[in-house]
Amino acid sequence: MALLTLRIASLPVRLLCACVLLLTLAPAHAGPSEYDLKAAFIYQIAKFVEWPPSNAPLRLCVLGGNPFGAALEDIRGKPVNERKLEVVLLNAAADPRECTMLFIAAPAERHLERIIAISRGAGMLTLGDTEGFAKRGAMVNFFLENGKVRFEINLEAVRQGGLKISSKLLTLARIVEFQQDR
Amino acid sequence: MNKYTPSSRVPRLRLSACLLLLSIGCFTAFPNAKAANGASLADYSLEQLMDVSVEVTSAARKPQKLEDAAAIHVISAEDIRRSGMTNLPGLLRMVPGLQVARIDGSTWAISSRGFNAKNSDNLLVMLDGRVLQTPTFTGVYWDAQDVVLEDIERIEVIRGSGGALWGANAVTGVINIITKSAAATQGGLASGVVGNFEQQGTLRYGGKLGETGHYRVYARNIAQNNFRQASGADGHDQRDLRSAGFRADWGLSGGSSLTVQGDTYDSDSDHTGSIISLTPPSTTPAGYTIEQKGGNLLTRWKHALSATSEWTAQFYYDYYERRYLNVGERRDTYDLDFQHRFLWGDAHDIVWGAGYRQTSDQMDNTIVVAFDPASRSDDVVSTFFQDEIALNKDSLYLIAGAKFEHNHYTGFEYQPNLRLRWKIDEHQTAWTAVSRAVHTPSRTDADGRVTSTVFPPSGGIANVLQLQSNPAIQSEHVLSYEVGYRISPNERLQLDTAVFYSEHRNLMTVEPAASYLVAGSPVYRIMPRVFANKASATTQGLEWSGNWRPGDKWQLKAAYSWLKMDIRRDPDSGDTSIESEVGRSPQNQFQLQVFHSPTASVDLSAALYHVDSLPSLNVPAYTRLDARVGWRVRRDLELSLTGQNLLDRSHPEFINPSGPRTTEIPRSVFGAATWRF
Repeated sequence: MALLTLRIASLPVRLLCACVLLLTLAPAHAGPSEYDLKAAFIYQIAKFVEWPPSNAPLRLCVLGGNPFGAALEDIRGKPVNERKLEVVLLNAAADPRECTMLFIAAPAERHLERIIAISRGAGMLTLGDTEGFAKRGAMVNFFLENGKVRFEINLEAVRQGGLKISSKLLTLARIVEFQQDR
Repeated sequence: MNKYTPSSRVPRLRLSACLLLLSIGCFTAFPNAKAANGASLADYSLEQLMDVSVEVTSAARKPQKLEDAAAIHVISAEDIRRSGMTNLPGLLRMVPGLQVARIDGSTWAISSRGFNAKNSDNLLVMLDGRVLQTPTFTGVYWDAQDVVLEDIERIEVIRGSGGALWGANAVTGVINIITKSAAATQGGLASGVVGNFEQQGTLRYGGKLGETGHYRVYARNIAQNNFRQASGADGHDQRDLRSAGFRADWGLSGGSSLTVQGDTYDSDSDHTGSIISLTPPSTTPAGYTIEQKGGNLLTRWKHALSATSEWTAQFYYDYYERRYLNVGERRDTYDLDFQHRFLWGDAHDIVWGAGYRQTSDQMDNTIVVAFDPASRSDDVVSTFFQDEIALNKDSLYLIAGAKFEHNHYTGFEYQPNLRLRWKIDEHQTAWTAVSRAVHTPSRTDADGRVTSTVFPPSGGIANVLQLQSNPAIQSEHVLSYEVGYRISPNERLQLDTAVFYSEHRNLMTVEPAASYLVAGSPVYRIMPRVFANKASATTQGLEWSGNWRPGDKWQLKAAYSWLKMDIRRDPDSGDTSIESEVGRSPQNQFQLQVFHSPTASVDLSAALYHVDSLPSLNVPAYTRLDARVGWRVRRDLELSLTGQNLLDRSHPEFINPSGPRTTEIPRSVFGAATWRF
């Protein structure tokens, strides 16, 4: 009886200790980080784009620093259909034409117009997560809504880029057009 | 038995609480991108990803603010729509620190940082890269300028010297009017303005050009009735301007963009002046009509080489013919401009370029206005270089640049500047600049003869006061020192302050010279006033502006500017009027704009402007109130009612010292409708 009491008492104590430990270790928030999720989105979106035929690795470039942090490691090397996903942090002055997907982080905003010009007919998917990017010509632009990641697609920009996006992806997206005088 | 005693229930509660916490703990371990079951987020399907809630680490990512080491103000398309202004000069009233005065219905005096005059010649004005200043007097014929206001994307106004990038005659400011790309103006637009003083009509239509191009075409007419003089008499200053034009933009594969645009216009504006005669009466006040016709064609090819590197090549042709009474001029200008921007290493953002401009004119010489030679062709060759050096990435930048140009009047000119921008933290930026700019002589300064006054004959011989050019005239130049500070404590509040001190040298004066008799019938005596560079000036000032959005439905903008000018003529100068130029620019200006949107479809706005007196012109200080109610009836239809100058029936804003009449700026009311289809 005494032993049992001890065991009953000790289990909660140990669990409590474990809880305290876990709570101390775990950051005080309620979900994965925004960029973990955006990285996963980018990987999934890549599967729904009709890329120009190629056997080369599918190269995701990130321009304007690395807001993803270690999250890029979770998608690096993963297969996209028959191709392997390669991840590159792009120097602003480097030629973006080697990229299959180009994520333009907010600090690279001042380069946006040039990147969009380069992406025309280049078979390169441009992505971003800055307000207004899609209207300015980025093909896929993430935004947050009620704590969840959503994305908008500029179909005309996708068409000008020489790409096709599967209708499944489109049903999940908010479709936007180039900035209009309305 | 005592399992259920309170003492033993505590651990049980703790146990369940712990299990709960443990599960949360596991969930919070998610940042490693591993789901509770050990699967990676990357293995989630799109639908699953859509269901995952994230920790929001920051607010919505907004584009970063344009950071400049200059006193820059941007008028947005939204500012234009809400202002209710119906013409280009009117829009400039809302720029903190500019001097904008309407002389009468067809004439404006606009300047930056002082020296305001009907023929202000220190402010560079460009529309889509095309210079609106005329080399005839290096100012703008505002009566013949018009743009479809709905097509303007933004107007960037830089107070201070812009010579290092833009070249000569950007001495105290640069106004860059940038229109929307044709892709952004698709579909139709019909708008009209009807009021007690003006009527306007605009039609614009935009469509596609093949797979990669867009176009728009427009036709527009603005008409404005005569204002009244202080005496109540007709101001004889009505104007009527008809214009049409197009713009086409192609986004080509491989990083190129091509723009072709052109306009044609025909303007009639009434003005007042004097008809002078060698026989009495020497001076007769008269009204006349200036007719200006013109057109332009511009093409721009932009090519992006990488995310940070691009070149732009631009060519334009512009012509106009301007005639009144028996005075006339025709001018043709060709301009070729190239620039290249690139990052060099991590720390250098470099822009360099070269330009060539040729302008030729044909003047109709009369006794009143004459040019020698009557026809002249000039070219200006220029090159510039600017390096923005990141001394400390993301916080400290040094901008060094200079423009070098060669012109036929004064030869070689250099215009360097040095700027420093310091981003103190997320909310504050400070900047400082030293710059040199030049004002090169105009065609009138170098070759013109303008008879300004005929005095009644004494002893049978009329005395004629004549402004005479000086082929040896030099450039005016200015050295400016500026300091600015911007703070945005939160997203809703922005404050911007700039102070400047400028030293102007070699300022143009008109010097009396020995009079001489001219044979003719009758014989008359010329009293020459010859252009010379015999004055200097210092100007100093402060420009402050604030922008506050206390809520989503309210916005307040305020601005204050203070200006002090001091002009000194050289000891050997006989120009007794140059010092009075000080009193032609207001010392204090204040404005407050309030915007309120009670519902999503209604906009209310009011703008109050207070402008100090102009002692040299005997123009008292005035306060102007404009108000507008806008109602978006449907997505495609907006109606508005605007009242301008509501506080009094009329008042003068500026007086043209050489004009015999004083027209006042009246209260006006107009309704406007814009329909998009």
